[in-house]
Amino acid sequence: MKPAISTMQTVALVQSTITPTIVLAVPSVMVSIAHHDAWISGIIAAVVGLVMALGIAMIGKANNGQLFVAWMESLFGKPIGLTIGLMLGIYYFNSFCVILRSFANFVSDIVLDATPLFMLTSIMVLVAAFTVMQGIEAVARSASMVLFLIMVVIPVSVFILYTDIDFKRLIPVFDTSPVRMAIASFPPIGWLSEVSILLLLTPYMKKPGSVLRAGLIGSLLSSSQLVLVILLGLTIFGQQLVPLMSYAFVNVMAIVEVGEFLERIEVFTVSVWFLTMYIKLSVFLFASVHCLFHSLRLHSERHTVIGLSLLAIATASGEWPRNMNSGLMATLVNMPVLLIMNIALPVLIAIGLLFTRGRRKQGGTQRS
Amino acid sequence: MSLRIKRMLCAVLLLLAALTTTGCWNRIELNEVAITSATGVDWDGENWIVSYQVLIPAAISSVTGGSGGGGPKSPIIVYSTKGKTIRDAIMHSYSESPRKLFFAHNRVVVIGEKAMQRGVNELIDVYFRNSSTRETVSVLATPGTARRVLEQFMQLQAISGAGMKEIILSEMKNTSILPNIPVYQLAMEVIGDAKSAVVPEIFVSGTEDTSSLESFGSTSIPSKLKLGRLAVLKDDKMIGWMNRKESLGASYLRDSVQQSYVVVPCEDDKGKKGYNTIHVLKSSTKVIPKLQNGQLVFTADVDVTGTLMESNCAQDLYKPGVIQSLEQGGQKQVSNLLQEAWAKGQEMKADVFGAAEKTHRKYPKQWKEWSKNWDEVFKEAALEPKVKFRMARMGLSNKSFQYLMDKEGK
Amino acid sequence: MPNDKNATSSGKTSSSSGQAKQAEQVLLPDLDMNIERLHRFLGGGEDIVCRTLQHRSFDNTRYALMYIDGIVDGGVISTMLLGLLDDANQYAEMREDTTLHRHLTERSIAIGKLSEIETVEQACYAMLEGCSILIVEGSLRAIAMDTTGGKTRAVEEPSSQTVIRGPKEGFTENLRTNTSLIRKIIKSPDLRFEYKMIGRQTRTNIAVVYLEGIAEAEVIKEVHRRLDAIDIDGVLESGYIEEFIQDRAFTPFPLLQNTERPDTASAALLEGQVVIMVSGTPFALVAPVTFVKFFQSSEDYYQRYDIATFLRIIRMTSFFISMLLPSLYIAITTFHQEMLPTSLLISLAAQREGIPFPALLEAFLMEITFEILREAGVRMPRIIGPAISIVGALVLGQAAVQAGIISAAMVIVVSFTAIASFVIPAVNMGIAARLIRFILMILAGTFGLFGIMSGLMILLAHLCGLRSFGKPYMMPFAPFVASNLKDVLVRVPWWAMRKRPVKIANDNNAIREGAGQKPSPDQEGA
Repeated sequence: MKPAISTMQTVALVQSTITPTIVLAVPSVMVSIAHHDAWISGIIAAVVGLVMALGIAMIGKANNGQLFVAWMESLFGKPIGLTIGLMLGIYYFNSFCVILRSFANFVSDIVLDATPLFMLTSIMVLVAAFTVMQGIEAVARSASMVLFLIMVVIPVSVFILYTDIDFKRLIPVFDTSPVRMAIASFPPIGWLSEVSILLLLTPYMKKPGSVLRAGLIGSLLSSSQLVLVILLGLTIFGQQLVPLMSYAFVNVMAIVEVGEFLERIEVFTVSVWFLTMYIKLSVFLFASVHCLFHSLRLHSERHTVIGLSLLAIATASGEWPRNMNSGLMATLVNMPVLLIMNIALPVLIAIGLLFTRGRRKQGGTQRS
Repeated sequence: MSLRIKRMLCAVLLLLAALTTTGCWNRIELNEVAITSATGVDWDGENWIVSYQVLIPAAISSVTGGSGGGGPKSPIIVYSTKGKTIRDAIMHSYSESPRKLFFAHNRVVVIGEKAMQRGVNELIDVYFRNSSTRETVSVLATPGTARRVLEQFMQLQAISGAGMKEIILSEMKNTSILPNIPVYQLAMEVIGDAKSAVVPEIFVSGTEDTSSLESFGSTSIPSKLKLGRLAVLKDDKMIGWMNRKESLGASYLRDSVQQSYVVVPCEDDKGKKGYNTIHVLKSSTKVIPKLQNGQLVFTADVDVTGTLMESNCAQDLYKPGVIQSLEQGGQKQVSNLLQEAWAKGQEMKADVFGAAEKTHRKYPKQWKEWSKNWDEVFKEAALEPKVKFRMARMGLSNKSFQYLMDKEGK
Repeated sequence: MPNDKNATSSGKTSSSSGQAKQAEQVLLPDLDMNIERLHRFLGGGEDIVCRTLQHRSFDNTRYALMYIDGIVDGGVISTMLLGLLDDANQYAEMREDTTLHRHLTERSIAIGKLSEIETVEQACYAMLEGCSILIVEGSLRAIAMDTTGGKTRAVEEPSSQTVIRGPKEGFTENLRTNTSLIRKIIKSPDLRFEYKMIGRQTRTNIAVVYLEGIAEAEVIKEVHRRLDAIDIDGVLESGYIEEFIQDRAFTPFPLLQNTERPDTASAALLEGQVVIMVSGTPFALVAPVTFVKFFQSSEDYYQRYDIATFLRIIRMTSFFISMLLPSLYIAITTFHQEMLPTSLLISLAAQREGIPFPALLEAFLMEITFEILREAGVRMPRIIGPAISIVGALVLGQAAVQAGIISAAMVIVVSFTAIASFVIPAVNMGIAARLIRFILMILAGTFGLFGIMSGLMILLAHLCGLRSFGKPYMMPFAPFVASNLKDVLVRVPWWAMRKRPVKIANDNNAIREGAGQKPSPDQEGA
């Protein structure tokens, strides 16, 4: 049976592809650049994210149900299609390793500081590989259930934090120069560009026509969570303190004190975040397996997953001896790669589409 | 198919075996931790001295778990370590404690006066850098050494660390003279626009110590832990104290009054003097900066609602004018408090009232100029208190008992 | 139940054995030969009864009645025999074209269900089913009469799925009784029973029951396809079948529901599910099912909807408690002590003073102990029950705590877990939680909450990948089907459940009740 994922599940997939990384380290970076106007930068990023989602969805709509690599090959011929597939596969694999390492660092920072990183990456890859082996449909369904959970957790968190929130800390608005605000919106834009995963997901959708809606809502959900975290950080701690925190959303939850029994609940919040993290890892592993599997025309998808997983464990735990290096990799070095693969490549594909559409039309008229 | 599954099963089993054999990296059993309920930080001129009030669970809990017994045991134990940095000092604890210090249930951190004068930046850094410490810990200052405060037993509460937090919370709720300052709030104030902060004081009243359980054999204990004044910090260093009256004024200006009281002097028809005590039920303050002829002026709009708690003036409260006079009295008292606190703040050049943030918000453009020498600007700025005092209720009796007695006399 | 079609079709399966090949022969005109061959086929035995009669009206033609004693209904046999003898002794002029065979079939046998048999093999299998065979000298066919009977258990109250309010009837080991129980509840011409025979040796009768037009045709076809593919020597319980026809071989979760309650089975039929009944067991299988079905009891629909909703939430919570509580306890007390309220932490720490084992080992010891106690409780003779419970409760619980081997909190955790696991109405779902519990405990003891969340993620992905007869297991949640949520965590009042579960039943025939039946005071007043 051809896997079919519903529109809502696609939204969930897009959402959980972007959110786990975007709420992690980005808010405090943004606040340190744009101060208490960082939330405006968040909104700018959200708008740009929507535009990107729109663009990606437009490209995705041109696909008539073929798998991505096959579609590329049929459009531009085998060599170019193969190259695109391989490039994307390597990109997704590389991102998978980088994300894996930064997540392992986070887990290590927050809860398990004495556990060897190798064990953490192994168990993460194991879970991701298992999830991917259940098929993209299962990943999508899990994503939608995790989305439900988040939709429950977020209002509850905001409610219990309500007494600590002071909106006056946001005034005066537009205190920071627009240039700084624009600069601050770059890091989230980089992560929001990951909406390009839709290109791979469209062929699996039940209603490929609603890819636009899925992309827009998914991107919006992610950026609104980013803005929410920034707002919470700013209204609770103020602009001077947030840059001090590596992971603002954890610190925000750490100050909750409701009576004598409900305190120190950040571990619970982080636990819910773990789930979205796993979905993200699975999506990236799926994407890299999907691209490599189809462009290299491998025989067994299962073995591809196992092979890539083992490679990822080795890369993630061995490539960067110091955590600082991987942090640098995640924020700086990876950013251009992100933008190239998620924006430049789709733009090229779009240009190619326009070009070949003209040619195909000609071909059509000649034939007729 | 079956072969593949067998292989997978093998892999999973191996992994599980690996987990169980080596899995103890972060695990720490409950009987391997020393739960600290309070931490003290002192500075002896060269080194940090960190003191810990460690709980002895078996002595606190009624569930003794079989063994033990015989004589009362102290529920807490206090010891100190020394180091070049705070964390260095904490690390030294490993060489004298059988258990790992565990700070997540720490309720208060008490800072000695010398350490306060030395600066709290290092402490704040410790709290934000480590996930094992909590930012919600209440900060208290003490004029002597922090260790002495930690050593005191408390009445009604076996764990004095938790007791100290309870005292400050209940004080804040009922009289609002001193605010409860968690570490994160201290950090926010220290790093804020005014770079000034406040920390409530706790001190040992009495010359003797209540550090032995034998003290509890009698009805009164030789000394007590008490909340006192308000320590004022400027650029993370302590520069002085505000007395209780000033700190209440500061509370009004900081809009942190939840419930409080005002004692209003009164005079009856015959000129006999007495006092009325008004319970402040609700209070809200808005400090508004204004530019008057290029000069920064602050208006404090205070809105107070109170109820009469005690009256020993011979007054008929039904008489018109009595309520007004009560309200005017309250208004005057609160205005005085505000002025005194403001003056003290200006004297110390410490804007602990959040005036800087408010100015920044209202005049973002001029702020860039003012922020360079805010202390001077603040020192020049005048405060105009505008207090609205409203009596909501008169209590259950509408004539004072004194009034009735005087009438009987006639 | 003699069923010629099936008897012949399943004859093929048994033709591989040498004995069967020899017997695959048609009946001969010679009565004695036939009787002898039948005896030989069945291997003799005292319980094979053969009674030869002669009929006066047909020149004393001999004919024989054969059956296996004990599996036939004695009363029916004697009544029939009385009728036969009565008929045999009467003399009447017979029409030329009438044979004895035809005469017996049409005029003489006082049995409702008859069938014609042509081979020795068929005759033997019919006898094994509990039929009686009439063989007439000179006829090439025999008559099989349904005299199935013998000792069966009476319809009793189901022991494993009890209710406070609701019918007290339960299925029995007799397939005919079970089908009749369903028939009695659903008196619809659309109710279909399709019989199969599985098991080379046991030749177990299986009935596939569904409501035509309400069940989805695809599912029925799939059920038949999977049942037909089974090749096994014996089926003693529906569990045999279940393992052959479930969608995924390796999963701790049940992919088919089982029930011994006719009302539950009927409710399933009305919701478009297919019920598979197996002869010899009171447990019928229901397919396709979703995860949430295992938390619903038939009583939910008999009690008021508010309490039913509350109980369902309690059951769901209990499931998570029985799966997660020990691992959460381990994770929180050995990794995240900061999450405990201070006073609780102090009392837990006080209890743990002097306990020799780490919390993980402590939990394992207690859990294993409890599992042993539970198993002992199921297997032991009833008489010594109280002894075991005294030993279990006192010695293992109280004494272990007093001796300082186990902390009291751990005993509380384990007992609460155990009680919570009994709340789940479906035993097989409770078993899943029991097994997963141990894996989660190891993960919790290694990675704390991170380990638990990793385990839960695997679980979630696994659950989301499961299917039951092609239907997604986590159905109303993922994929999200809003209209099915009316009967999942909450049970809305009956008048609000107008549709059958979408995507499980035939969606073209989804409406099950009239609109606007919400009781309102206005109607009553008028």
